[in-house]
Amino acid sequence: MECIKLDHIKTNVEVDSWEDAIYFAGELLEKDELIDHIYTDNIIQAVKEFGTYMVLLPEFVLAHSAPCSAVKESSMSLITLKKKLPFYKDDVFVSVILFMACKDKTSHMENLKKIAEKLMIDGTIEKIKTSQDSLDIYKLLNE
Amino acid sequence: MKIQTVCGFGCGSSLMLKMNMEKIIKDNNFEAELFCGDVGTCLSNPCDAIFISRELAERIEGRAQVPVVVIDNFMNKQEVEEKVLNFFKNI
Repeated sequence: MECIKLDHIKTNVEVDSWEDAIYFAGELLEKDELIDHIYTDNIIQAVKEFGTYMVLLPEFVLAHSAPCSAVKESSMSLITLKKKLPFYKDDVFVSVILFMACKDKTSHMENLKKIAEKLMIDGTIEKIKTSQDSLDIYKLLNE
Repeated sequence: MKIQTVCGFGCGSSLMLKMNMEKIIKDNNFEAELFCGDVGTCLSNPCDAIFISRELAERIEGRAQVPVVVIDNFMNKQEVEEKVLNFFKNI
């Protein structure tokens, strides 16, 4: 079962700020009309309001906001950054962004659980971080 | 024992923390039922403890009627395990 599409995974992305990184990840879903731009704006706003708790592991952030009508279809994208960036605070860094769009409180749960199970296996985040090829990450998360 | 895992919206990060904790609780033969909540409404959901991030904990500080455990990285197995074990040891 496919949790995240190959087309929605990009490695070695070069951006200058955490906001641009989130916008980059959001655009992967936007171009397929799965979300509206406003959902990504909501995520940026949520970080500014709630802080950095979405950084679930060092250098790994689960970028998400509240379910809303700006999400057409629950979906996910993932990008890795060429260079880690400070995330909202100077001492919190990210290099892997998992962007999650949920249209309601439940429809994304199965996919998120599957990905979470993969991410909780020791070494998975490291493999994602160092992966040069999106196909490797695709296989890692979907198989 | 009902434990609430709390994030900003109750649907993403809190689910990751819940899954992480459920595994630890099962591995250690503790008994607890976990559910996700959001920071805005978590205080009105009946539960016996709240596990929450540091920044969000500040928002409910002094108002929670149940123990509040602060977690820095929701998916950090070692940190979460240490805090879960410590919590069950002290109840």
